[in-house]
Formats: sequence, C-alpha cells, structure tokens
Amino acid sequence: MSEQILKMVNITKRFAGIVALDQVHFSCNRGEVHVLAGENGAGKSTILKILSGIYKADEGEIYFNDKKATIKNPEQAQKLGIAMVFQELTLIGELTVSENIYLSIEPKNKLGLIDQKAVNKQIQTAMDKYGIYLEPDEIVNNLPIAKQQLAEILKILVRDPDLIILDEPTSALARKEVDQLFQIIRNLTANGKTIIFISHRLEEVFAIGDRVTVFKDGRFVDTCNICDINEDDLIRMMVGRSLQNIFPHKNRKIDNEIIFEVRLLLDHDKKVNDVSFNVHRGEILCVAGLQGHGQSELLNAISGLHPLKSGEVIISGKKISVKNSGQAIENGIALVPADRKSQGLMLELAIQHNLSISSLGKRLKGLFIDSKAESIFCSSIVEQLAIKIGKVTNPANSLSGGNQQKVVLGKELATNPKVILFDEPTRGIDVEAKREFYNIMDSLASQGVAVIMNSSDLMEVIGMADRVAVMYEGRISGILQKEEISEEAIMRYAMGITEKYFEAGETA
Amino acid sequence: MNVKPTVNTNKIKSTPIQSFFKRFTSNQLAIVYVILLALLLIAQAASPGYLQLNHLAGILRLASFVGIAAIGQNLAILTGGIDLSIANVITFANVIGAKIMMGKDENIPLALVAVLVMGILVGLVNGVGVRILKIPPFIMTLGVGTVVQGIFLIYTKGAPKGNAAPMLKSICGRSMFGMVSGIVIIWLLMALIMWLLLKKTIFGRNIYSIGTNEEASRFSGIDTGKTTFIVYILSAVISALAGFFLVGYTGTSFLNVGSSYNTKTIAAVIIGGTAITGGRGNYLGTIAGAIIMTVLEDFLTILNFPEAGRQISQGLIILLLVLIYNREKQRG
Repeated sequence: MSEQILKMVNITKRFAGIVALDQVHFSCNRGEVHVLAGENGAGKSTILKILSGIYKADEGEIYFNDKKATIKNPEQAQKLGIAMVFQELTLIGELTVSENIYLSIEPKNKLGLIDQKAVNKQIQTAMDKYGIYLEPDEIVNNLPIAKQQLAEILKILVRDPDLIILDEPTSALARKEVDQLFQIIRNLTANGKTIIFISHRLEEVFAIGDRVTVFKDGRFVDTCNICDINEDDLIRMMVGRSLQNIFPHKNRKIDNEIIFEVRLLLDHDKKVNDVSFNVHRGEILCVAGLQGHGQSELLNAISGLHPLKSGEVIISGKKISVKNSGQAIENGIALVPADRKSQGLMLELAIQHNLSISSLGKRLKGLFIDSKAESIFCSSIVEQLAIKIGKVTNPANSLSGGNQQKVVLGKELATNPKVILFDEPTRGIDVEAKREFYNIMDSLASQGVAVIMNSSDLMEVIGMADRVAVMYEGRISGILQKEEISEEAIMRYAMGITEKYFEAGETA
Repeated sequence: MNVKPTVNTNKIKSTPIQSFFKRFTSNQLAIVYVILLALLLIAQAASPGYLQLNHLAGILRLASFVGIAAIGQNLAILTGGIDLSIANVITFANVIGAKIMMGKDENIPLALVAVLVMGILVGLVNGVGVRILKIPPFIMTLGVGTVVQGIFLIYTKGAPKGNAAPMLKSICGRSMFGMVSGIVIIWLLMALIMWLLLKKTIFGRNIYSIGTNEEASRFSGIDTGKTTFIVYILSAVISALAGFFLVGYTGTSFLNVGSSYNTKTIAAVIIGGTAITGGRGNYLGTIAGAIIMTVLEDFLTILNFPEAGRQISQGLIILLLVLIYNREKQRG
C-alpha cells in the first residue's frame, strides 16, 4: 500500500517575522510509520501543529486523501481523521481510564445518561482491537506514567482517526514499555492507520520507522526509506555531522583519588536502600536501571531534596550535611533535575532570573544584588554554554528545549559545584544539544568535578560512563567497570537477575 | 518551535504609532497609570476643582493607608498566596493603639511596640499554618482573621476606648511639610524600601521564584518555607502599622475601621498589575492601584452615589481591569 494519504506542499509559517517553516514539503503513505526528524527548532512541532489545526500556515496547501483540506482548528483536523498525541498528557487525573477515554463522546442511554454498559463493552472491544490492555475503572492518577500514555493513545484511537501523530511518546517510557508501544504501532499500521512519529532516540527511529523526513532550520532536507540509510547518514542529514562525534573520546585521566562518596544511604520508604558508591577524580559515573527503581530519588537525596533516614555523603574525605537543597548547594553539590519544566526553571521569568537564582549570594553589594555584576555573569554563562537567546530579559519559555536545559545547567554551574548530578539531562533535546551536553560533562570531569549521570537512554550511558551503577528496587544491584559495560550487562542487573549484591567500595 | 503566535503575523511592519501602541499596551504599569490619569480627568470634568492640589493631597493621604497595608498583601500575592487577615489585624492594631495611647504623646512608643508585637504574633500563626501545617493561605488567613476579630471583640467588650496622641494626629493630619501629610512621606519611604526589597534583594528574587514555580525554587536551593514565613510576618506587621497610623487619621478607634481593607488591598494589588496567581507584578503598580481605589470611592461620594452604588462600581472596575490584563497576557 503506497497510496498517499497526506501531502503538504510549500508550507510556510512565520512568527512575528521569524520564518519557522520555509516552503517545506511533507507527505505520508497510508499504513506507514513516518518519522519526522530534525533538531529542536527545525520546525517539526510547527508543521505538526499546522496539521492538527493549532496553527494556521501562512502559505501552502494541504491535501488529505487526495482532497484539498483547510484545517483551521483542532476540531476540523479531528473531523478529517487527524489526531495528535501530545508530549504533555491531556488526561484528567481524577477521572477513571474509561471516563477519560470516552470524554465528550460517551454513549448515552434513552434518558440521556451515560450508558455504562455500552462504555464497558466498547472499551473492551477497543482494547482487543489495538492490543492495549488497561484497567478501565482505575483512576488515572494511580497509574504509572507509561500506562497513562497508553490510555492517552487509546483515547485517540476510539475516535477512529486515519492519521495519528505521536510527538515523542517514548520520552517517559522504559525500554519494556517502548517495546509494547511499538507492538501497538505495528498493530495500527496493520489496520491501515498511518503514524507520524517524532523521537530523539535514534535507535527507536530505526526500530519502528518505514520512512523518514528530515527538516533543518525550518527547511525540508530529504525524505528517504529508513532501510536505505544508517544512523550516521541520518545524523549527517540532521546536523551535518556523524555519530562518532556525538560522544567525546574518553581520554580523561582517572586517578585513584576518591573525590565523592556516599555510604549506606537509606530513605524512609526504601526507594533508596543502603546505596553506597564513589567517584574517582576524572571519572563519570552513570546510574542506570529501569524507570522507577530509585535512581531519581537517589540523586534528589544527595541534593537535599529527598529526605534521608541515614547514610553519609562525603566530598574529598569530608563528611557533609544535605538536609535541604540550599545546604547541598552550599556544600558543592549541584543537580540538573529530570524535569526542566517543573523542577528546573521558572518558565515565565526572565532567563537572567533563572540563571542567577542559585548563586545570587556571590554577587551582592552589601544587602543588594549587584546588577552590573549580574549582567556580566549572565552574558558570560550564555557565551560559555553557547545558549541561543534573544535577550536575557526574555522569559525562559521563549527558548527551545535544548537551550532551556542549558539555562538549567548554567544555573547549576554558577554555584561552582564540586559534584554535579545530571538526571536525564538530554531527555527531549536535539542531537546537537546532546553533543554539547556530553562535551560539557567530559570537560567538567577532566577539571576534577565529580560527574554523576542518571539516564534511561542506554546508548548514552554506554557512550559516556566510565563506570555504571545499576539500580534495582532501590539498591545498587551491580557496578560495571568500563570494560564490562554493555547493554546486556546493564539490563541483567536492572532486572535484578543477579542475586549478588555488590558494594561500590569493593570495586577497587 | 517555542515561538508564540501573535495577532497579526502577516503584518510584519507596522506604523510607528501602531508599534508604540503595541509596546504601550504590553506594559501593564503604563496602562494602570493611564487609567489613573483618565480617572482624574473624568473626575475633574464631572466635578470642576477636583484636581486642586489641596484635594489631591487629601486623596494621597487617604490612599497611603491602603497603600501601606497593600505592601503586605502584595508580598503574599506575589508568592502565590493571599492574606485575608489584614482587615482584622488593622482594626485590632487600631483599637490597641488608641487604648494604650489615651491621647498622650508619651504613650506612643508603648502603643507602637504593642501593636507591632501583635502583628508579629498574628504573622507567626499565619506562617505556621501556611508552611508547617500546609493549610492553603486563603483558608488559614481567613480563619486567623476571624479569630483576631473575636479577640478584639473580647478586648474591647464591643466598645473601643482611647484616642490618638497629638503627635500621631499631626503626622497623619492634613499637612506636615507644607502640603504633604507626614503619612504620605512615610508611605513613600516604605514604598521605596518595598521596591528595593523586590528588585534588589535575594529575598525579593526568591518571592518571584516561589510565586512562579515553587518546586523549581526548592530545586534551586531556595528555602521556600523560610521565605513564605517571613512574607506572612511582614504582611501582618505592616498591616498592624497601617492600623496604628489610622488612629491618627480617625482620632479614635472603631470596630469596623479596617473591615474594607481586605478588598481594598487585594484590589489595589490586582489593579496594579500583579498576577493573582503570583510571580508577576510589582509594587509600583500597586501604588497606582491604591490611589485609583481611593479616587474612585472619593469621586463617587462627591457625585452622591449611595454606598451600594459605590461598591458596585468598584467591583465592576476591578473585573474590567482583570479582563483587560488577561487579554493582554493571552496576546503575549
């Protein structure tokens, strides 16, 4: 089946004079998984928002099922059979799965009330049809994020669209859940549905995609069959650079000196359970594991954001206290948190405000903030991290994801940390920004800062880590030395296959 | 792309007047001062002589009490909270102040200390409730305000006694330094401190941070608990101070002297462009807000509007302004 379902021709979109899309083309065949690739800011979200009726194109034409279509609002898109699953979930947390799924299209009985029997029957049919199995009566808030994502997808599917847009659906999912999602996608395409898929994880692009279209800086680059290209080709199309260059070469000098150590960290509900590890000078330690096995809690605990019951945190042989985040920062521990929007940034406030908030005490003139020193400080960080901004007084939400993440990093670096923790630092940012992050981590480690990264992206862990501490149910189930690091080894420990419990201290 | 859509994306170039207008309407502070100016001109047209210096000085004198009390309200709202105990704290401060002063200058220091101690205590209770017991500020301060009301009813047995000392009367009286009343000077000084606090200190930055995103503030190392605590203490102490000065204005104390101040301070803050959800706004706008509220009430009184009509007009104007602000915010 190579019948064309969607054709977008010469689409141009400007925002207040900035050209976001410049005469781009995009087309999909029925029944395919079409990957849309490009760095953040390349125009992927913009074209999808035009397609789903959120934005209106300034120029260009859209043909859907060979008919010229005008899509002025999301309702029209939905009527045509185009549906978008957003990165941010739109479910209502207090309602049940089935109430959410049939929201506003509830089957009614003769009295005009919701026909619960019909709902139950229909949802069962839908679950069987698409292979998505959920507990319909469960309250959405009680579900793990992966299940919520599936509920969101099922909500879209019962409305029976022909074309389904999935905008980074895997960013919050663990590997097993990604596999499940891919199985669902295959079921959908087998049923004649067409999928547009955005992901920043290359391996996923190759695992699920049939064809790929690449945008760069608002322009169309190319559309090709995924089986005709390899990862290097794709990256070159996106950034003009190949894969080998993504991770810095590991030529750091690692010596025996232990610059950071934690001993028997234990929290109140055993999310962090007797965790011990250390970091040598020059070393990058990665924390890995399946989602929800205590990795984020561990990093938060070290940063004073997750209360500990017992345990010691030691920097360069000196025991320090991390009762709250202010104390942790004062003692030289910085955290780039997992969720930049809710934990990292005050999105509505100025970039400058965000950059300087954690290190204001360093630029005081008496009681008052030295505004001259502050603006010098901000421009130096912006330059140092190559953050692409308009003005430092613009709000942080005017930036792309990668640049927002750099602002978070800049805020943390400004505190002159001795230990820096990265929690999923590259989630949802583009390849070029990822590469920059990796280089920064590399240079921080060379400068003698203890660098610890938690990531659910195994490629990233393997590419960056000198050692990997794998977590399982709140404990460290194993520490892999550089030469032992492999996907299989990480997954074994992550799934708790080994009974043996290693302690970090024993590795030397 | 994180580019916000604007209204006229097709028209990239606009005339200088258009662009001036656009820049102007995106500046909330400018809007509120223009509204103030317009209101004064309307008042002058409807009641010639309104803009006489004499009368304006009177307006400022009256506005300063709202303005001072609104400092605390502004702080609370900027953190994303609210302080509904202000009205009763003002009344309580008023009755304590009058009773201790008993019309004698030598009693002023003691009265002031007593009033401030009361303010600190109420602020502490609010702070404990909001931060430690995690009671929403709306409920906590409303409850505490009601308790304060009960206490001053017991304290006065329903009949407040005492009156203002001559010195306080002259500070809050018609004119101290030529035209301007002492209370207006005090307000200006407090406004300056408030401006510096918000604009130039770590405490101020922390307030905006907490009001915008409390979790991110915590992750950034801000002691959110301590900051909020201090805000509620400041709010109560400043309201207490406003209540104390009010004795000088009214001469004696009344049990309903502060009752309109919850509405007035919130209105001044919101009219001044501070977002009710916190994180956005400043005190310069609130100053104009306080004057607008006062002019409105005064003007409608001159026009012989009955009390009910005045209240309806005030309510409508607040709603109208919030509507305008929201439109501007959506346009971005």
